Amino acid sequence: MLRLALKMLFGDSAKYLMLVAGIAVATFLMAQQTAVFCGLMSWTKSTLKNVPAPIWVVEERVDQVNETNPLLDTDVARVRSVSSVAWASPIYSGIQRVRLENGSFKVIQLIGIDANTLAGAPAKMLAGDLMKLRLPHSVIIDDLGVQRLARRRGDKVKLNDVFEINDQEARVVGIADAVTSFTGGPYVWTTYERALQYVPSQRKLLQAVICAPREGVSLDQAIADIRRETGLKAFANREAGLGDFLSQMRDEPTTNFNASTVWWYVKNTGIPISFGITVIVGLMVGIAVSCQTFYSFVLENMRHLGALKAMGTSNGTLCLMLITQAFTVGIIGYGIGLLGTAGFAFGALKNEQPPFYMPEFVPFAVLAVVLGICTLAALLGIWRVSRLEPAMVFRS
Amino acid sequence: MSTKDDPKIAARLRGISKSFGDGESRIQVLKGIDLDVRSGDITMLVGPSGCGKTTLISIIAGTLAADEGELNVFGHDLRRMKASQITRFRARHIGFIFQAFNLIPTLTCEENVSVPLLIQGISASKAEKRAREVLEQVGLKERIHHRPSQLSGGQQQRVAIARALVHEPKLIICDEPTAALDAKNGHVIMELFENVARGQDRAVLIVTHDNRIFHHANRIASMDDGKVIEVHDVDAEHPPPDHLSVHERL
Repeated sequence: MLRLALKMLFGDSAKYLMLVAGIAVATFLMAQQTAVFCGLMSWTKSTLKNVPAPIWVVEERVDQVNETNPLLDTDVARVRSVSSVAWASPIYSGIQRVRLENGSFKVIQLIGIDANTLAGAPAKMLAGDLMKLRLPHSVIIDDLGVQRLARRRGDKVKLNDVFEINDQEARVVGIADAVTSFTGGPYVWTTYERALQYVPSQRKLLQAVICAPREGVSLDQAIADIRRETGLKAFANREAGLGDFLSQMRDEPTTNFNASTVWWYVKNTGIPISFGITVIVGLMVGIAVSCQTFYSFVLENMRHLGALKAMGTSNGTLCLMLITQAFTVGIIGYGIGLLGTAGFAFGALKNEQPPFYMPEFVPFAVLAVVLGICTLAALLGIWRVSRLEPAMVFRS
Repeated sequence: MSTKDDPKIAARLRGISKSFGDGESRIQVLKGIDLDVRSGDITMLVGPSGCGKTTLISIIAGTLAADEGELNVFGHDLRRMKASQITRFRARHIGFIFQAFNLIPTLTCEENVSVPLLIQGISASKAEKRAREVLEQVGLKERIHHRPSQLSGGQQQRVAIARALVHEPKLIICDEPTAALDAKNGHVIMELFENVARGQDRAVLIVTHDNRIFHHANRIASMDDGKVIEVHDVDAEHPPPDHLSVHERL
């Protein structure tokens, strides 16, 4: 009987395609928008990925990595003096403008790292030599910069190419693999001292101190010691978990800089609301189109379902037929929607924008929502069929 | 006396009444119906529209519950059975031919005919094999993979008959089987019913307005205003009385 149910479904191609399209659009909107939101949020903490260090120390009122208050240069020494800290290095991080050879300007995220230790240097070099960063006017750019900082659209930056930052020469000595910044501009690494030369003069330019705990000291212990002994805010630089966000929601500030950064954007910008609205629209489209179309499919088949009931089909079997039809449409629509999302992801990841990051739970969550929509649609049909009198088939 | 006492009696109705609605809007559709439907016979229910024919066959088929009276079908007291038992009983013992055929348009003839067997839990391959045999018997061997929309009205009716016969029910209930057919096709269909009833000893109960087919009946029960007003046994010596035809035409 389930095979017959599927034949009845596939036979009404207009309704079938409408149902599948409704679920596919809903799946695409929910999965794609969630992934773009997560991608955007992952971009907000890209500096933490691109400047790897176990602990970030910032000014006490700072909550997120893209908006830091300057520290005193002596704060590096204060952090070094904490007994549980193994090493500490200064970091400059700020948005600057690059003048290309053709005269046009591009925004970059300039990172200044300690020339001696090179702490905070990119983790993965694609070309060039990290050690050459110590040479005069040297910079390392990320893979996005290879295209963005080229003389002409379509060209690529090569090693030893030159551009200007605030009228000062910058020579490319390396190309690194990096996560795209929240502003969308490429990352450019140089030494801390040279970064201060590139940047217009200000009284305080130290943005953060990166450090690591001494061997045998836990990360949390080192963070607590730095906070207690310096009065600065120390954060762990590790992947944010659900627990970090839950503690933030309970108004218990996290010591995880990734979570703190993402939470700041969630709380202080309209980004989650705008993406959330689109996800809800996807859900509403799914519910409206699927439930309405499936209900109308059931109504159109009411005489046939009545005939089946008159011929001895039990209510249970009819319900199972409707559930099979609704869930078949749901799974097919979900597959197509997810395929569309994968296509979008392929393009986004290839072009490095728009942001796209799909956490593992998203496909499962969307599947659960789609199955929920199908259950609702099936229940509407079941409610109608359970009230169906088999004797109605004798009435013309 | 139940149908078990007389094996020729397929359905025995005594004092069957049925009303719809409540209070002042209550309408009594059946008023104490007594009727026997015999195996091996074609029994026709005739009467003007609204006299209760459709309600009566719905009650005999177990798709509608009577308010009062006794209803015994092949030794089973339908009024004492649970809804789920009646559903199973219908699936096993009753074949239906609906006025609008009610063939599922997205299924082929073979699949439509196999439905009663699938309802009983028989495998699709066995059901379709049996469906092909019955379609061949009704002369639609060449049409087994066609859909209902690709068939004429007469052919669709034959598919509906094949569907009603495929699980070898003992009682076949037909609602206006020739209403949509011309005289020639109606005659062919009625010959099929005669073969089923007399050749295979099944009970065939037909609701009809079509006086062209009265001579195919063994018994004609005439209804009016919710009552069976007369029952005629028909054979070569006793043709259907003329007043039935006049009555039907009116």
